[in-house]
Amino acid sequence: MLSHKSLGQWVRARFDDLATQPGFTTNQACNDLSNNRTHLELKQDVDHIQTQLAKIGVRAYDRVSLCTTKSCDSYAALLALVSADVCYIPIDSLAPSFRVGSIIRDSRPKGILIDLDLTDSLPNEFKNVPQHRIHNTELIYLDLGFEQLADVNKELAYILYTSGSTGQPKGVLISHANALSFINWAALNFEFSQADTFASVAPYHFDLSVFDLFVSLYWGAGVVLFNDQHIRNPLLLAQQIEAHGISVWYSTPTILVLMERYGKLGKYTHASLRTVLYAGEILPLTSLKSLGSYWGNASWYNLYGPTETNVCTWAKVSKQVTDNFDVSLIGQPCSHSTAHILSKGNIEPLGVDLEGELLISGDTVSLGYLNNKALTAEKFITCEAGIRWYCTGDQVRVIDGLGLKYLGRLDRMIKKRGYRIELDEVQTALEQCTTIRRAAVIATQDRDQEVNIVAFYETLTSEDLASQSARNHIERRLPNYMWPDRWVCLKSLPLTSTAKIDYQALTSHPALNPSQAPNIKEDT
Amino acid sequence: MIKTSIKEFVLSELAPHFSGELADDFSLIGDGLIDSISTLQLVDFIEKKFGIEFEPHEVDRDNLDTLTSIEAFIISRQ
Repeated sequence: MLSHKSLGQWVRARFDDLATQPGFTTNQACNDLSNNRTHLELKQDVDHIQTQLAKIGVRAYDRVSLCTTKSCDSYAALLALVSADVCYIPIDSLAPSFRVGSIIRDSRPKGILIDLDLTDSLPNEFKNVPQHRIHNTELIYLDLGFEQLADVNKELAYILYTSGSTGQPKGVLISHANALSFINWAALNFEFSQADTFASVAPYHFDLSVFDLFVSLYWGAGVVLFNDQHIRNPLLLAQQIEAHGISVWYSTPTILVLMERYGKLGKYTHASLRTVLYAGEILPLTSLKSLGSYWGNASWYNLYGPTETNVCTWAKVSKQVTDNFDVSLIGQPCSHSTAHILSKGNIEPLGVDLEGELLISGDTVSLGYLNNKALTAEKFITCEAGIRWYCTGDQVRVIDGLGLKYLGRLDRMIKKRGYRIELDEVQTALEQCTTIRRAAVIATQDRDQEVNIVAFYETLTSEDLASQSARNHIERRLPNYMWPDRWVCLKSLPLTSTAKIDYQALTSHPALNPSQAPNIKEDT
Repeated sequence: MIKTSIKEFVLSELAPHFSGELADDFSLIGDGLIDSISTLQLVDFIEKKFGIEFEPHEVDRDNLDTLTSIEAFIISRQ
């Protein structure tokens, strides 16, 4: 266990320890494809930025936003905030200014560290504030002037904003204990070493980045920092895995699917890849099998966990994946987590065939949502035994010998003709189909208020063949009330900034125009 | 010829709901007509149709943003 009082204390101790080891001055700590830093250089950058922030007046327990593209500079800035025991609030550098504004107004940070060339994208109200260049970097600190609270929460390591179902982003409060517990588990659960090179694919505002940035530091290993442009170019990612000998990869399935489809993986040697982790969505069987054939040296793991818990269950994926492999298995609870199931109003330990909402307790469970006591009370409950549980909103079933199976989001449950239907169950069934590359299933209401199930899909074969085989596949597996009413073949499904399927965009997709006939065949 | 072929592909496959005039200097990426994934599809199409291959660093806005720049890139590689 990491017994440090704060994430910052751990980072400081980590650098002190690395400084005593051979390789501190020569081993690469990070590389952003333009620049690289040894551990010594990274430490010097961190100290340099931390000193400047202190001069500006940033103090321990302050909150500071970080709105930057990923680079050696911004990584050092993030570590400088952490090292100074400042609570960092990463903001998507590509987010529209409206969203940036609502996050800033909600979190009231003391200031924001932002890329020089991104300041134009800030809402006007935050542009005319005192500015401080951070020397030798492309970063600038804007003093936002929000009063910092007197009774500041000293437990906070960082705040991650996720999309709320209401459209208002919600700030998930992550404590030092939460972060350290996750880092400790992730560092020790897989067989990493100092010789590893980690890929950092997820942007800072996405919790997958916590793994790349801090677990690589734990081992004194190198990390290759991919920015937003890089991660949209699967060809480049494939090339860079070879160029840097990347051995640890962690991303959403979406990025993996794009790599498999457009990355020309056959052109490169990816023998260095030893560990491939994915989380956030289901990885469709076709991509899993294909990637497995290119990345045969790697061990594969499916990780599960909402931002409120970080990774809380994990499953090792067999190297020999057959057509019967169940892509929705999320495995067993991590050592820091306990999983129970809320079934018929009772919180029950995992028992075979038990089905219901997954509840998680343990050291990584978030303190709650910023400025939202009502939602915190709704999602984080304390049972009679005094245990605090996070209600994931995910429906799971316990499978004998295989652990947990993800069934879908409870809030994606619909009622159609009196039947309760889990849209994700339909979607997962489609993602098991070998002619479907990816699928996204949504429900819409037509003019008569009738609920329609719409299956959007990308195919590997011709559209006619795919649609026919997918229908056969679904009809063999699901009762007829769950069959999609409409099938829409897309060249690609729309994605969110964290590279997950954008369901919101699908609900307003032009193919759903009510004037168009059902079972439309659409090529977009 | 090259521009016509690219234009047809963009309008039929990538942006079928676009109703305006697709001029040679229209900014496909800058004006949001094609997103990052459509860009990959466009690269895939160009490679197959014109028998050329993009290097990873060539998949960028400089080469792909307008019909004119796409044509120039293809000619330079043929």
